[in-house]
Amino acid sequence: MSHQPLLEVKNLTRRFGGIIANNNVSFEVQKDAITSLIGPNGAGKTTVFNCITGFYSATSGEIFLHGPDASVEVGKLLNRPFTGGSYLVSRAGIARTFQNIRLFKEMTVLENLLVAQHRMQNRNLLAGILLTHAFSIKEEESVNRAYEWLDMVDLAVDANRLAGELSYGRQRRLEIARAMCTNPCLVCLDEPAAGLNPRETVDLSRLIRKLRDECGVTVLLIEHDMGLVMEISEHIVVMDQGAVIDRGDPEHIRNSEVVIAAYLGTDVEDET
Amino acid sequence: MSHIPTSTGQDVALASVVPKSPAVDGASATRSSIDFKHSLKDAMVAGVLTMLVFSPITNFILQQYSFKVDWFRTPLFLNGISIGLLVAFVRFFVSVGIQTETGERFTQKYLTAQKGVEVEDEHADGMQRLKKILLWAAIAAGIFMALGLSGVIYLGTAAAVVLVILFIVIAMGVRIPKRRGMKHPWKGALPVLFLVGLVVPLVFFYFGIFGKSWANNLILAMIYVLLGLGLNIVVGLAGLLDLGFVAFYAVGAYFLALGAQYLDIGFWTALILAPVAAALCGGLLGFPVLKMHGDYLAIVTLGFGEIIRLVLVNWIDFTGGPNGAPAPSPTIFNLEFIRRAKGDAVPIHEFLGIPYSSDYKFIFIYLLLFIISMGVLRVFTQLRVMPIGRSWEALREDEIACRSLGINHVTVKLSAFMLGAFTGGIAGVFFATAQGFVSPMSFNFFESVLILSIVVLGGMGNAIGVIIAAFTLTLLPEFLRDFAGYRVLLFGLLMILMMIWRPNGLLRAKRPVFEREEVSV
Repeated sequence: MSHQPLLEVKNLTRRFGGIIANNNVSFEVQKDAITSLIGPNGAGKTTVFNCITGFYSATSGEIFLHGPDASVEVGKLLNRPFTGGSYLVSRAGIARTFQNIRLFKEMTVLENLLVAQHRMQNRNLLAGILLTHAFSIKEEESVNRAYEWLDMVDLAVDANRLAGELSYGRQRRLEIARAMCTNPCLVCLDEPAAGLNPRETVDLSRLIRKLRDECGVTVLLIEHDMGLVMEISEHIVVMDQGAVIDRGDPEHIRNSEVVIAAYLGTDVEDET
Repeated sequence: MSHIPTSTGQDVALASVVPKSPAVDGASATRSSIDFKHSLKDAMVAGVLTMLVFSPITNFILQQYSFKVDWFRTPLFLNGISIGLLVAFVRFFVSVGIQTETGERFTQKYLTAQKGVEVEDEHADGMQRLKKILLWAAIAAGIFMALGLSGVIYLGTAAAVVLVILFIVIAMGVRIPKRRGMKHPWKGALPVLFLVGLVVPLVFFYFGIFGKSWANNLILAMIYVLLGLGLNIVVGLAGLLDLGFVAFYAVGAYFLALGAQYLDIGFWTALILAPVAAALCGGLLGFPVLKMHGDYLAIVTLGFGEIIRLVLVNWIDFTGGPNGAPAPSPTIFNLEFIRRAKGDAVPIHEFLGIPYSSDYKFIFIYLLLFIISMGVLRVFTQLRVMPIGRSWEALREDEIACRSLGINHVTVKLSAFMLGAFTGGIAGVFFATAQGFVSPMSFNFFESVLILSIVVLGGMGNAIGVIIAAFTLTLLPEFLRDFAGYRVLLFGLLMILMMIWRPNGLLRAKRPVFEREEVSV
């Protein structure tokens, strides 16, 4: 792909006190691609994710999002005086899901999706209280869009149930749908297959493909399920001990000695 | 009716299969015939146990240094033996009643429902539900009126209870959110009920059974309804524990009192400006502290409440300190509620050509407060189905997820805080004008606790529950005036029973249903 990447992580370093969680991490996410971030436990993948989505601010380094509207630097959004915060990152077009599902458990499935669409709704207080026509149109549109997404993730039958009482797999799918309802250009999935059974994992990979092919979003995911990663990724970034050790297409990663060493614990120097 | 009972978190795996329906379970369960022997045993045990517990407390009277046993102590309400008999009697009927089909359905629906939230389509078969509500309300009102007319309870008390029931019924209609393209399920009944709510107190007043004292009590109760609704936004919806809510109440009340004293503003001006002032105070407090949550926020708000009170107590030159400050009465189109004309003011009874009564003021405040409480409830109901209301609840559920969805948590919290404070301000103005006098004593920490317990007791986030709790907690002490010594005991007992049977509050929070068909695009 010749054009500019959607997301550019440049020399990202994140320290927690004396611990360096990410050391000089750099990689790109191409537009309309599925990129995976893999690595053994504690490699710093989730820290990278949290930096990208604005939940941590980077100690040093930059993260650029070259969205359809404008290019933004995530760190600048966070440090904007008074109004800065991670919510701006989401507004810039990065949506995310969480490793341990964070749904609004005591709200219905549909309401979860309506909350996510708050930027597309009429937020005028008076319009809502007086129930103006413009308000109702927007409201109906968002209910519609919510149902479209529920169809997409196959949850339409559960629309009016509480999110907290869905099964685990369904909660995962709902969380993806909710992230998508914010109309992002990049969606970051943090271990979407964790806790799913093999059949659900197959469905998930189909869903992720669909997100990319039909909805035109770029996907960045952290995953431990190598089957899934190798199957759907176009680009894989491997991290170990806070640094990127290798990156490339699945075939390259499969045969990469550093990656195998990182996972299996063999010492590369000893073998050579 | 589409009741779908729901759990939060538990039985996730089971729940994904089929939505359970208690009505279906109850009907399909094969029911054995009523076991009277079992019921009798139950009643005996309950009665004897009650006597054993209560008799030593109530039948032994401490006289100087010795006990005197009085088995027939009056009033019977305090007699351990009679309490025991009463408990046995009630237990027997409850025990039998529970074994009937209706009883079974009742337990299925109300008593075993320990879950916090329920999804309910409020627009489904509204007429049927309305009929049911009206029937129950009419029965309850009828019973109290009959008791009142036959002299068992004071007629004024009966009238007040009827007004409370009316208020709750109307509130039930008002709290169904409106949506375009969907008729309000109560159709034309709501405006009629609303008018009835305005007329009935006038009728009662005309017949002389609704006077100053009960009007004043109901006004106070409705002020707590307003406070409860306001705090419900902050605690129930947005999930911010606010222990200093009384501060905004004080701001509203003192705005009227001091505004009249220094700026010569009247009731109506204050009614518009005081809530704004209270909301600004809320914003001022909220802005720096809303990045905190949970316990820390509670402590800061607690401090804020105390600061406001201490300022009121100690700034004697300005606020009058512990001596308080007088507050003006309301006016209607410049007609005043005074006995004799002062200056160019026209007393209302002279204008209308009716004899003077000091009750007019209270009846007027009652009616005005009734309209305003309903208006506030209407607005808050609508807020819940608006993006802002959803954001509040989402924020209570999970702040991090909210941020990941682009919700600015600080402004959302701030809006909840300010709107709650706004309502507190309205309540404060009414309090000041109804009492005619404000003093820092009325705004101590206990008030904050009372308002918070109204919200918690009512069921966090459920407006009707909050209203019922507000009436219960403010009027119960009035009803129990005869047993003043046991008031706190009964209050505590009520709280304990609630926590055992209804840990989630009187009524469960309800979630709206969105159907696909209703959308026509």
